[in-house]
Amino acid sequence: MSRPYAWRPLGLLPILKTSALTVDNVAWQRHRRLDLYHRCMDPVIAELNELCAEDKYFRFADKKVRQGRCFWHLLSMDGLEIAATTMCNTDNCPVCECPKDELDRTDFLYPLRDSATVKARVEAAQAALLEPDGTIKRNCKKQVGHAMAAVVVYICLSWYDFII
Amino acid sequence: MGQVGDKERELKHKLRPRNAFLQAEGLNLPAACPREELHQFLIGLYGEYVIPSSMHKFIQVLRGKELYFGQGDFKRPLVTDQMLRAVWARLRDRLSSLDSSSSMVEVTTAYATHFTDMYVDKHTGKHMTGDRVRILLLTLPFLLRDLIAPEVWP
Repeated sequence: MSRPYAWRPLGLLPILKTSALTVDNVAWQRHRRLDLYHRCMDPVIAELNELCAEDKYFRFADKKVRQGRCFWHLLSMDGLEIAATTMCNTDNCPVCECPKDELDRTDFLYPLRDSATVKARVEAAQAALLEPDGTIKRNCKKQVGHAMAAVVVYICLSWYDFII
Repeated sequence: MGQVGDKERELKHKLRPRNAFLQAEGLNLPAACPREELHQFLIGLYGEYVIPSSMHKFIQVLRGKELYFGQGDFKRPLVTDQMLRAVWARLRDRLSSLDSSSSMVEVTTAYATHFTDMYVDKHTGKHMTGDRVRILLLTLPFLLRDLIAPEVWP
């Protein structure tokens, strides 16, 4: 596949620059950018899944027809692309459980992560912490909120005692 | 940090949005990522060990015992702090002057400043991705030489 038309652009992503957005919250922008990337990949992955689902017959250069099955693999990506694809921070290794301060160790094989386990753990956490529409459940937003509420109640009660 | 953030750190995976790649059938996404090259060699071995130890070696040589004036409390280094700072500034400028027509890589001034912040000023919040470290791997052996004297332009 060395011909120049062996690849095609799938689409153009809009620029999510701060100056082009009405919402200037950095966390929101980061989430929006990641969400956009993954929603763009949704139809691509659906088509690839369909393509790889069953065997196909291919005519090879020796003019023989052979039965084959498509498979797909990720191509070379740099750190930030891997972070966006795996939704893992660049501080961590997305592939294994190596802690950040031991990234230079080459003498030890850390337990490898696999998609099935990651997916199961993520889905369990999503069910526990997120609403069905993807927003964060009210009681999971900030634990510090409860502490602040307790302080406010304490102050109010103190003033109430003082007035009485 | 809320419970969601804590959980994301524990899982090394964001909970929002839904990861499209985990829907792919028969694809083990983490296993498909380049592990050895990315973290153990580029970021770990070269980025966190070889580059800082090269800088340390430079400072050791420039601040060697034989390169001091005076005795006792009056000892002062031949290579002053200002000269040492100029060495790293020279390295930064050389790095930022690389262009694709001569070196096959293009390095911006922002990248060179990031390099100085990370390795000279030891900024703990700065990091580099595997591909950014690869640029240093290709270029530093040619740049880390004759740094003590000012550049001589033809």
